[in-house]
Amino acid sequence: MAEERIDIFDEESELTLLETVDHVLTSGLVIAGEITISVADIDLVFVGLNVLLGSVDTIDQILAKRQGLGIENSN
Amino acid sequence: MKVYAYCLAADLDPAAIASVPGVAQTMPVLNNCGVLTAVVSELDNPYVPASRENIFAHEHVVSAVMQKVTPLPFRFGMITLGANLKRYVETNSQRLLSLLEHVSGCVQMNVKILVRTDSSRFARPSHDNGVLPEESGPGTRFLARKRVEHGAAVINSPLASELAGWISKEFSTMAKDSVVSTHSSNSLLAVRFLVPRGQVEAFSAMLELARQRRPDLSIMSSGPWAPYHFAQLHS
Repeated sequence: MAEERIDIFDEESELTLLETVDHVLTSGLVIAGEITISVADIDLVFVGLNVLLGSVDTIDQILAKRQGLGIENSN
Repeated sequence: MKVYAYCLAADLDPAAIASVPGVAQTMPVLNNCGVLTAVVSELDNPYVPASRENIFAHEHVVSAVMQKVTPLPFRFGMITLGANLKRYVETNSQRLLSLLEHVSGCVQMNVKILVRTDSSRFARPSHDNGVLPEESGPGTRFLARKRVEHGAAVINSPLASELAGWISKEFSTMAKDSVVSTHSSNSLLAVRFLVPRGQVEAFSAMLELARQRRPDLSIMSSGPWAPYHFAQLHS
């Protein structure tokens, strides 16, 4: 059973996608008042179970904004 | 005109980004901001959806710069007037230069640690069914369910401190800096290391040793990345 669990996290491409999303959407320099994220097609992020490793909360927040604000989020 | 900003660097050769497509099917260019150079795309339409294509385009442009020098990456979605970008760099020039010096010659390596419940030491409590109160966010509840499905234990504060201390000590000789965080699902400890480029191979070898020493943990890694988590201007 343990080996099966590890396999979930060995799908490198999905992990790379997750890590990319994790970096690009949540960290890095920010110019106050200038960030604009227009979310479209974000369901593509849900590529597999690796999403549980880091970004579901981030994505949920984005989706909530998308539903509530007509797909625009400003920090 | 509005620009989409990817990263800041010093003394960047335009050839570094010459053939790398940017977000929204634009081509990035260099924008002189005084003490630093910004890599930007000029936007006719200041609307850049957070699609898979654009997220990867952002990352690819930053990665292309990483091939030459270590930049300070911007977060996705940084759309501003060119004049505002220049003012931002001028206003924060000393702190940005200091940050750039800190990350210079380094890459970011990510390590994520999942505690396995098949380890007797961290066995999951019998009452832990992954169900959290309704006041928890939907993402947190989802992750809690997945954590139980996949046999990951809760990482409470003492355990997080122990693991953070252990992993930081393991890599203390080859990492210049590190940032530790526990994911809100309480199932994952994330450590981002700032590693000199020449140490990446040794870092990976050390990681393999760490995996052998701690079979009770699932230790995942990725990198090298641009130093996103070390590009933070704290007020």
